[in-house]
Amino acid sequence: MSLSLILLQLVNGVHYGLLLFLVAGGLSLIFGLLGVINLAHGSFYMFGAWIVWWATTTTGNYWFALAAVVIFVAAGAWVLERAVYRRVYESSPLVHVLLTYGLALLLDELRSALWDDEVHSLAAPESLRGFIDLGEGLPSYPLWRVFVSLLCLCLALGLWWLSARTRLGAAVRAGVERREMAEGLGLNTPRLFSCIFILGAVLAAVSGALAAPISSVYPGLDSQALILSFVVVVVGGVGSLSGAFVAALLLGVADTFGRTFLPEAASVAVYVVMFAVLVWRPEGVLASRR
Amino acid sequence: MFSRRAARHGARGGSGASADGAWLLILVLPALLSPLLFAEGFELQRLARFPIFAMLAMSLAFLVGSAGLVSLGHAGFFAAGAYGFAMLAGSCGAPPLFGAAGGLAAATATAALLALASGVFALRTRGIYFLMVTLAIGQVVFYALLDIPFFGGSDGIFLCGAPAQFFGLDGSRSYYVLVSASFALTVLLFWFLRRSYFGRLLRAGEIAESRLEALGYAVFPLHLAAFTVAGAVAGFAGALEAMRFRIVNPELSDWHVSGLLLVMVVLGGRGTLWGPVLGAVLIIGAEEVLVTRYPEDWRVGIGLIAILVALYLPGGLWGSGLWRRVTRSIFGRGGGGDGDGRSMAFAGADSLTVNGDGRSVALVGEASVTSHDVGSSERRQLMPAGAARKKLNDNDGDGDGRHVSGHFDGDGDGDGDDGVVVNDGGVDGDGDGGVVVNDGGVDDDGDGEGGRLK
Repeated sequence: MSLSLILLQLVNGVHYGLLLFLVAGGLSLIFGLLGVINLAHGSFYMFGAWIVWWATTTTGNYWFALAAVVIFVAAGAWVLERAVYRRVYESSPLVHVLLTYGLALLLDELRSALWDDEVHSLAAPESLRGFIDLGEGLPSYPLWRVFVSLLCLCLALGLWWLSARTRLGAAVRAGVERREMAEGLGLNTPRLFSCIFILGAVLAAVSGALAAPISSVYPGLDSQALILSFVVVVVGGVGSLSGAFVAALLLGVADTFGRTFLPEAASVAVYVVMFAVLVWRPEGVLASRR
Repeated sequence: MFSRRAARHGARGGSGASADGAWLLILVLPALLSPLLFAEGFELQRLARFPIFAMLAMSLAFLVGSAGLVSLGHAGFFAAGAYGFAMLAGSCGAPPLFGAAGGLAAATATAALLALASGVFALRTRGIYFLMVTLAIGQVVFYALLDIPFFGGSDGIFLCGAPAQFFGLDGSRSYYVLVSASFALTVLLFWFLRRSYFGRLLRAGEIAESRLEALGYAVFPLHLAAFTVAGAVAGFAGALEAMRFRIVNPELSDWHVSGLLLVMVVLGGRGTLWGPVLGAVLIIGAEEVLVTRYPEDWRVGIGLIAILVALYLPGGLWGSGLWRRVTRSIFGRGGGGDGDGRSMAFAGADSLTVNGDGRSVALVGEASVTSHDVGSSERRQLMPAGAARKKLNDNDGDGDGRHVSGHFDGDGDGDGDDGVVVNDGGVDGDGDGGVVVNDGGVDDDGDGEGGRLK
């Protein structure tokens, strides 16, 4: 086990963790602010991947397809929030679970009806298909992964800026902390909820679209993304963006190392981390909430 | 005594309520056994899916309804039982370790142990977290079964050895009788558990956890016991499922199964004995019909059912007040109380007193008085009576009007949450529907769910 292999896996893990953060960050915000357990969150990730595959094969341009993902998913999330989610904000978690479980099933069937149930592969955009030479004795690293990691980092920074430096972010933080108080002070929560829901959905979809050239496009993507981002939220703490960031990186690295060094138990690695965190700090690694 | 208890517990907790007793077995069992007359072989094995899922739903409903623990990983224990049976009583090659009876016991024990071990982790959390952690537990089981070659991978395991036979019946008839008997035993078990001191403590914990702790009860072991019992019954049902077509595969622990179980529990009525059975029969029936009619996109139907239940029937069919509203509309008046099952939360402390244990009655009486005084008197002055009552429906005791908030200060002593309460009172006053008002206000649409949904 050479040092370069460990370094390479570390880079891969961070890359995976950053993608995970995009899905889980939105989910965590939706939990924290809207109080909704969204089992359909993985479906946005899935649609991101499928729409980008479909639009790329139809138009031949990945960037155009990425724009299509943002537009379609934002529109879909807006409709869903207005038509369905808004009706259950005050209901119990059990109602959320049922509702979003049903939605996840419907969205998966919609995906199946729109396209098919096959596995599809997607090439990265031509300009980013190359490799970066890391030097003597090291394997070259795909340019696309570097680009995706950087883009995710930028998006994470943008989220941090949005959360820490803007009025919207302040409103969100106030809403997560004490929703009733924030409402009492005149916060327009319905509009805020719509914004955050759409933001979360679009982030998840972009993550799916960015991951598609690496991991290919297949039917089970929704459950996979959903459950991993649940684990991230448990580890990071509900409603905490920084917690989700740390947790996503931690789990991304854990998963990648598990796959490399212990392939039989790889899928369980993230859960082991989660249980460890639960013992160590049940409220999440950063334990920022209240 | 009986009727008083029923009135006091309302529809949800009413172990003594007439529509929810174990005596209904007398009506259900003949119906359950009747397929023995006209069906055989494969058909019987297919039909056995109904009682098996009814058992599963009952075990989950015990967690959700009595203890207020919403688990999304119940299929994991189901699969653990199924694989436990397959490996211990149906292994090929080497002669199996156990016969059918021993295998059932061993499979149940496997699932119980798994539930006990994972419950230690999961029960460190509540609400949303608990849901996510149990989902993760189910996924760990799923991936373990899928990825570890020992468990046969995605193909699963075929069981070897001849199916058990008894009473001179053939294999599938014996099997069907066994499943029916197991179902009846499960009904009796949960009927007993819900009436038992343990079941009452669980319900008390769901209503007012902090009060129960103030009385000196540790909630964690109670919850752990409930989680283990539910897991054990799920494992037992899993063993029966393994015997059904003598094959097991990782799909048994798919989280969609756990989701489907929750739909059954809620559709039927989660706080009742027979509701989950009804829910299981309806959902499995719907699934069978949909799969036959629309083999390609049958999940649309299940998804729609889940959404409709969530939006319009969150109180469930059985004993949600729906039944009482129907009888009331026919006979003029229905059962006791205000008929929406919400009064129970107000009488939360009182419901503890019906255990017949004189010592704890006194204890409960005193403590409930003090907790009312300390916890709620200031709030009552600040709030309209209605709001005060709804405030008590707020289970986690932090006075924020939301059942799950990720933190549990649990003392209700106004350590800063009071700001919220005052605000609530103000919002109530001008009637524009703050959170707490909405919480109870859901009931205005007449579905009997109230603010007490868990």
